[in-house]
Amino acid sequence: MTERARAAGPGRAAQSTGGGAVWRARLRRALLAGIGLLYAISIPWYRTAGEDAELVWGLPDWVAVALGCYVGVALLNAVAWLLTEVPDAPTEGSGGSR
Amino acid sequence: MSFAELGLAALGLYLAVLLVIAELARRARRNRSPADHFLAGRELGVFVLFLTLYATAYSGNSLLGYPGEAYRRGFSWIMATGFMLSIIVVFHALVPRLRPLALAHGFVTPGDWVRHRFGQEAGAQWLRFGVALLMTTALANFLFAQLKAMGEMAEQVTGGIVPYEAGVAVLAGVILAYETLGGMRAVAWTDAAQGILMMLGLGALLTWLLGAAGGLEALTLQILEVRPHAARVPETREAANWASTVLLLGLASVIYPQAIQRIYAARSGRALKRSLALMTFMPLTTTLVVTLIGLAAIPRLRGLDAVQADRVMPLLLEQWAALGPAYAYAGLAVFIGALAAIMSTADSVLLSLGSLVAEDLLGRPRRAEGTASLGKWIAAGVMLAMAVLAWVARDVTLWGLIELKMELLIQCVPAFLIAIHWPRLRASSTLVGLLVGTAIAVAGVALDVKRVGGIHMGVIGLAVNAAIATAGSLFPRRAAGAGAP
Repeated sequence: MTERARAAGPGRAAQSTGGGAVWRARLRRALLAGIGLLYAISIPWYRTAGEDAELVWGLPDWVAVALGCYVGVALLNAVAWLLTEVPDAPTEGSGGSR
Repeated sequence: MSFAELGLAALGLYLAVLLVIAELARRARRNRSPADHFLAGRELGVFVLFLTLYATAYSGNSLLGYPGEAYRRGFSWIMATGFMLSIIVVFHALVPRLRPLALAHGFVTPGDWVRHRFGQEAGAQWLRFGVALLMTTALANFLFAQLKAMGEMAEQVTGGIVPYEAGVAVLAGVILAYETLGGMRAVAWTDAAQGILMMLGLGALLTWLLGAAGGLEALTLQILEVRPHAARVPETREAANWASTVLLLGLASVIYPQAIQRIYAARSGRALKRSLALMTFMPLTTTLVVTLIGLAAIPRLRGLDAVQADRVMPLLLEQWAALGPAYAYAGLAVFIGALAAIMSTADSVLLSLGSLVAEDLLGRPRRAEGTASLGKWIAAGVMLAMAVLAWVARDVTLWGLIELKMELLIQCVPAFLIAIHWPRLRASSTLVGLLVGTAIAVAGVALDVKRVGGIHMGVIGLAVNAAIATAGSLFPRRAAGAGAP
């Protein structure tokens, strides 16, 4: 197992057998980072408080943005879960157990 | 036959079906071990696992509390879809590491992880006790909320033929019966049926509400007529509360004992990850739907106070049913679906409570039959106590109960999420962090300071808690090997 694969994330390292596993681990990390970004955008902290909103998709625009972000989160998270290995046996260094 | 009589008949039929499923589950059990009773022999596949996760996650809080909160707050309650999604996101930090350890070491309760991780370290025993106490308190609160929601639902839909108090008593008795008979197997099977009913029922109700309003845009315009400020961009404090609520719910919900036990109960890691991939879409089909239902109630049901707002869903069902016989039957389907969701959460909580108290709190050894039956007795006792509480403390908002529960539960996060990723984390510093974080959360409740600048006191407590736990673990030990298991 490579050091890079070992550092790739929970449950991934021991399953890695080559470049495909490393690529999937990187993609998973990128998806999780994308989810964080979508959460940051979903909360209208960057808008002027108390401002009147336009209607988009029948909803106030800041609500439509939040909803769009949450649809994005659901899609990215589903793919991230499908890329995640959930081993049925402990892997090297897993769990922080002693 | 009136809607109330139809409601009573549907309720009776539904409860009878639940008891039949419980008997089938009892016959399917393989032995009398705790793993078979509390984890269904660790054999839940993708479909049942997904539906049991779904029905457990979407409870009386979702079905009654969230529409009530959407009614009270307006459009900013879209945050609920975000925080329900965040639970499945935060599971990434726990599931891939916890699941293999749970299988290798035969975990049944959340305390098994704490015992495994911290062993005989100094402070480990008190940490286990502290975690178990917080989890037990949170679960008792959760059970209370479900019993209150069941009573409200039964009274409203049977038009008072079944009064609130009787609804609480009868439904609590049925849950206790099928959980005791069939354990996790009965809970998971009934959850699966209940999950399907809930999805269908909510979809039908929303379709009617949007259709009657003339579509989503027309509904929004009607809401703006009643509450012009509802569409304005939220104030900074509300935005901070939005972020705080996403953190509070996302972090605390993954360490729900019943959620952890479902990680243990999955047939395989593959089944678990597929179930979670499906679960990630459920906030869009459920939380978003109940949020829209709560918003649709704003122009329909004007002037409800905070507690009455929790009855938005049954009140809408009554209006729907009054349109004619076909609507009455559809309304009943929603009623049964909603009740199913509430009962499925209550049964899961009850099941977890039994094992949590018997093993983690009282420290009973896992002797197969003795511990499982002690767990059942404890579950019955807690159910009785919470039913009495639900009778005497009816006027509490469901969302208020959720926040209180989460603010306590979130203090267990370092013992799980940090401990599973960072081998240096020590039991003693984690225990001190947990005590300080809990003190901050409890002080907030006692002094009626729920939030500071929109941030929950529990989240502030967690920040201090995590800082103490990590900083304390960075100091070198006083003697080599001291306290190491």
